[in-house]
Amino acid sequence: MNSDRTVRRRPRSGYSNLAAQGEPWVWLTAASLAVAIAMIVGLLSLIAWRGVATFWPVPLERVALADGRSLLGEVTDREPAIAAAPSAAGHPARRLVRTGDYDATGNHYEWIDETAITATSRPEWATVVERLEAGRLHGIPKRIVRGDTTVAEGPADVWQAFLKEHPAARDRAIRATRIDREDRGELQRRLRAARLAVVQARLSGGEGGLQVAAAEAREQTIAAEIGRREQTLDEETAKLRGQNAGWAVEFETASGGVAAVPLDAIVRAWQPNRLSLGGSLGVYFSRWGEFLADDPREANSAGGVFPAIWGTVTMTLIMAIFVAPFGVLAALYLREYAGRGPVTTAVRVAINNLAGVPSIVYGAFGLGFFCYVLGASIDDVFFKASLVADGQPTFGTGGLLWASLTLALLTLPVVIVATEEALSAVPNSMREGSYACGAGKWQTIRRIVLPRALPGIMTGLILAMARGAGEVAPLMLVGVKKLALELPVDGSFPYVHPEREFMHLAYLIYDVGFQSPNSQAARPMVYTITFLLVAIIALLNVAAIWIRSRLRRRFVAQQF
Amino acid sequence: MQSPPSFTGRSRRRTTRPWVKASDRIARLVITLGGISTIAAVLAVGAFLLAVAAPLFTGATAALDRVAPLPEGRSLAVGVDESGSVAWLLDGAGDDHGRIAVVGLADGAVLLDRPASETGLADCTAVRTTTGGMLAAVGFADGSFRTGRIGLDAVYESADGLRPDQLPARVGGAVTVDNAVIVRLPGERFSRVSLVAELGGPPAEPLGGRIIDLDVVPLTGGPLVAAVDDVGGVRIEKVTTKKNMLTGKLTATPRGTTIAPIEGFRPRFIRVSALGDQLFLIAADGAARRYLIRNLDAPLMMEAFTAAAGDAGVTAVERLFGGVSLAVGDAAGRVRILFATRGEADDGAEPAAADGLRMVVARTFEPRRSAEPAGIVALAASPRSRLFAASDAAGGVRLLQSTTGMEVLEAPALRSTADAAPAMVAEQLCIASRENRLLAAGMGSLAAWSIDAGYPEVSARTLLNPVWYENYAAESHAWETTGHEAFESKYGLLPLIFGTLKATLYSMLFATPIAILAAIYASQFMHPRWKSRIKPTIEMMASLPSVVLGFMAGLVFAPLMERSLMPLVTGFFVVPVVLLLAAHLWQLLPSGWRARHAGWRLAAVAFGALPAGVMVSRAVAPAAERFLFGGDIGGWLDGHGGSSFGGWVIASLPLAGIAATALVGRGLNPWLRHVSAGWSHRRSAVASLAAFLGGVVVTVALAAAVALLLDSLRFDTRGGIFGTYVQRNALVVAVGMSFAIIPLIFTIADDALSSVPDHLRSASLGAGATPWQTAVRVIVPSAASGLFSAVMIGLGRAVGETMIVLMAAGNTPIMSWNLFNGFQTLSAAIATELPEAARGSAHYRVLFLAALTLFAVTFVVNSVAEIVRQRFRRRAYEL
Repeated sequence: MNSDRTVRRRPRSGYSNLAAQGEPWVWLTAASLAVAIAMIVGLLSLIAWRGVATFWPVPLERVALADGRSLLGEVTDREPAIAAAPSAAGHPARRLVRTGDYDATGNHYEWIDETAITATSRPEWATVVERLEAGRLHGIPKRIVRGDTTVAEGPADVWQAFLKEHPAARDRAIRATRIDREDRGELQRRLRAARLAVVQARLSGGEGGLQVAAAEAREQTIAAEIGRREQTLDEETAKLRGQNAGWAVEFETASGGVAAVPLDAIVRAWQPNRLSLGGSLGVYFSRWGEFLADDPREANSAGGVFPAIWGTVTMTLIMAIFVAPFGVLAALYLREYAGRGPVTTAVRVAINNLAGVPSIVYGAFGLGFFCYVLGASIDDVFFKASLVADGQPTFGTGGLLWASLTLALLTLPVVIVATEEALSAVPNSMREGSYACGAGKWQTIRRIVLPRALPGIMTGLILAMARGAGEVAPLMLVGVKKLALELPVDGSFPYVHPEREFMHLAYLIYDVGFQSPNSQAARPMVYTITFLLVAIIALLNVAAIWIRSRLRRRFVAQQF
Repeated sequence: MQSPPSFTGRSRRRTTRPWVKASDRIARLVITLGGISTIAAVLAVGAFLLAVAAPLFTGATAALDRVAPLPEGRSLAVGVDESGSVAWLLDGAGDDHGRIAVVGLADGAVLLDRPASETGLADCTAVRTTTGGMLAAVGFADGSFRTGRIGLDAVYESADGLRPDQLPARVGGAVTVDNAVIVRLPGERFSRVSLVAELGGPPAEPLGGRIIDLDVVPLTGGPLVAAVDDVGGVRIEKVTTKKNMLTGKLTATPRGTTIAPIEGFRPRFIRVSALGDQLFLIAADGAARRYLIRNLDAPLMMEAFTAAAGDAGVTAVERLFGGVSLAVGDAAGRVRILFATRGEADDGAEPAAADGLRMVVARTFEPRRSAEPAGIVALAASPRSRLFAASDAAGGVRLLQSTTGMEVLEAPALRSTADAAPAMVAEQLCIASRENRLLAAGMGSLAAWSIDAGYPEVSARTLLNPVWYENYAAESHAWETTGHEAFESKYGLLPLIFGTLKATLYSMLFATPIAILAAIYASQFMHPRWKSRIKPTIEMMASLPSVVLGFMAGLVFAPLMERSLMPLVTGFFVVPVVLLLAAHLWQLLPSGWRARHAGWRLAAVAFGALPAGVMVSRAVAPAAERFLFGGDIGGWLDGHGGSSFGGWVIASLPLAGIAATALVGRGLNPWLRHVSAGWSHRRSAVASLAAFLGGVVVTVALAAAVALLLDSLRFDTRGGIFGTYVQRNALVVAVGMSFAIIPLIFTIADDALSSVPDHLRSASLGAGATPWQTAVRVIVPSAASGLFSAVMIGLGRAVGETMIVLMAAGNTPIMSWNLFNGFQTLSAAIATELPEAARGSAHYRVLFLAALTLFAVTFVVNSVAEIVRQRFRRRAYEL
């Protein structure tokens, strides 16, 4: 209010008082906050609910339709009629049925108008069969055969026989596949290594040298030995598969046909309509177990995600190993050693800004520098044989090491900023006290400053790990793969393979959700992976908070 | 040194132990080195991106390597081997009726020399070889023409099989060995190059006159040849070679047709498109015709067009790489690029031909600037890109690029030492298959240049300006980088930049108000105990991986939004109205009770007003859809149901709302304040409610009036911010992205608002201001720069976000503001295309340029935010 105007108290105005409270505007701000909270709570609960519910056995319904067809499946979704558009406009309520009759109908899901349904029932013996390939099968067990002989007939007997025979048959099939993949893979790796040794000898010693002859001789002995080993493996797998041959379970499907499934191609079968609570829990946890511990099947849309969990964890740990020392070094330098000048300030601002540079930019850098410059030169010096022999770069392409380094670079600014803040939070009086007692600079840093700053540093590091675990855009450029069953750490020499491509949970979400040929059937799986990833990241966040408060308490007690 | 006597009688050591000193020094060294190098490594990211992208803008270079004298005689064809070390050339008539020779480009020595008569090439009048292959067609004076293979065949060979004297001394050198040439390649490798010149094809049905030009393209099954003679006769012929399964014998069956001479049209040049479906005849005066020759037995004349303008005649024609464009050189020294496009001409002068295509002159290269204009003599296309060479009668040789319309370089000229006359006019040109050599032959000389063309398909101009791409109807912005081998890559960054802007703009429009308002409530009106619980919850949203948000946006919201678009649209307007209505009803309650229960406002909003708003908007939606969009918003967006009234109502409602608020605030409120002296609380509240309802009515009326007016003027929102609905669109991205941005802005804004010194707040409240007045007049202005920096940081995040736009934006690089349409951003293009881009290619470098752009933009935005924030901190400190 202008001072030259005489201030006159206006009579009390009820409306002014009301307007001054700005109640409607406060409500708008409250609504914004409510929307923000609703978004996060809604999102998290949706992920949690769908993720947790994926593996719960749902009853199978037999739906008879007006056109004479009948379906057997899980009703997964129901869309209500839109009130304004009466059924004449083609919008009656409809249900989404997961049919599990892909062989006959060619689709996994079907929308059914409720007006077209004549009857629904829940057949007692309806069985969900998870097959190795071609998705699920819904049907009623008819008979179980071994070659031409019928072992059992009728749902109850077949189910008994199935429960008796299936575990052993499945076990044999798993053993045979494992031999094929692991033992044979190992042999192939050895053979390739021997072949590359020959190429390497040629490269270093020239044609016709002694080394070449030696390497060739070694290759031949190894090839011969591997041939023998292959033969025994062949016999072993033939025996295992032979025992399973002929066993098949026949199911009567909804469309009236009979589908025969080889016994060892059944991963799991359950009869949801007969399950008790305990049985349901059993199926539920058995499916979770498979999810966490097994390899993926069917273009990642079924089975487990163990390689991806392994890849995510390994990559995040390697990243932390790189980022922790360098981040702390840089922060120590900036805070304790560098002079206070405009240059230091500029560097600090720049580092702060780098934390906001898009991750994809770091990905481009990782591909261009780590893979194509650094990796290519490593290949040129150490792995030339592989490059010459079959044009395969070893380090010159994406891999675990480069992915970890890229993410380390990406999270480095975060760690530097967090560490610097932690360092600056240590009161100067403590430093001065230390100096006054005669300690040197490094002694002060090591004994006084770093311990006090540790909670902050750890928090920054763990938050960086949480960010790294969920980041996927740069990984798409530097080595994440759709399917990589060979883990970066395994039992074959030299046990750690930092050049291998790997799987990642976050990438799996993108891949299964968007690139899967059958994205609808894979949707529940995506929810579960999302749930797992969010849980891991939430766990890391909680760990950060816990460590921070714990360490802080420890040091608060010592505070002078 | 004498130590002073100590009080306790114990003397203290006053020297530092050596290892303490040493460790101090080592620590200083390690930390300084490690720290500086770590910081340097992080900062090097930008420098590396720049280093990768920079070669895009470096110019091309050419160095004259060799001028070798040749025997006199017209040069008919010239070619070079794969490595660019030896050349072959075919001379016309002479004593021995022409010869074919192989010349080493390192020293100009003639390595092989064969009379043309040996190979059946004697007295040929026209030769045409395919660029990059060895397929050739040769025409003779008697009107006959044949196909065959002419060129250099290179086989890699190891040094073991050769005698030392057979090995060339230096890289690029060549030695004749057994009727072939051994060429030394870099890295101790050798290749055996042999001359192939054989006319294996069956003789075609001859024409009447002397063959003056012909063309040949390889097709599946056999080559297609077209020839023209000096009396205007044209013959096209396809040779189909079949292998007999039993005997293994090859039988070649020619099939073709002759086009009789046309009155008044005497073609001088003949060209066939690479797919073999179009035939172009071009006369020396520029008149030209296009034939459809899909059916070889019945060629169809499609259109007559002019390939040259003015009175300058056509002097050279070349089919460019990709086989779609023709480069036409004229006597005035200009080169035009022509191709067929679909669609009508802008001026409507020339309607499209029967097949819907129309030949257009897309670009014109002006004559050389460094010399008097002289007619084009020869043109030669590169076998791997849309680069081509042009020589003129004044002795100039240039490299041109047809996509960008750029002159890539002018080859260092050849001048004879004696006088200023050109030493050589290149009658034949050739670009080596790796684009590392340019050859010119003519008037007794052979010249070779080492060239480095750089990245002529990309320039600063073409990255940001519209370019007329092959087969496009007009100049346009386009980003299209993958296709078949001969595909014309389109590196227009503008659609991607546009997509990035669109994503950022719509996301920020959605997220900023929510985040800032939420921060105001959390920092000013919320109990600290509640805030300490809610803030971490929202911050947790910030640590959600963006791939999760992308999945949610692309696969959960997108279908949901498609199903309930109308409730969503009405919700944008109805929910705020319901909220404000609820607030006005709350005002009706006694003020003491309200003050006691102020903390319950959030609960009332979250569990009362918001759900009620959602329900009301769902209930209103069908009626609104009927009234505004004829009952089907999807159809309306597609352009059905002519009236644009509904779109304008939606578009003008926000503005009308602001106008009505201003009207009530400026006009009605002062009056109400004036008259309300002594009113009871309840009476004021009722008046306020009435004013609000009046405002709503005014808003709707205003919007309807504006919509009626604009609709009657035939303006349409469709094509602007509304348009065809695509499932993955900007609105979906805005919602998905807001999950990432809201927590970021909220956290920083809340920090800024909370760090306004408490004494300001206390003073304001103590002076009698209400909490709302304090918040709006004291706290928000003091924290304005902090709020600004929060928005900037949110902006920086939105610009570079990758996974959400990759999964929810549809990834179509189109430029339209349509809220319901997709787009592609810089980041999404990098993520999807960089793994497939060949290292060092133009595509790879353009993507790095995109990354550099993102880096620079976010760096600048964050810097501004940081500077503003530091200023704010200082100010807050001073306060």
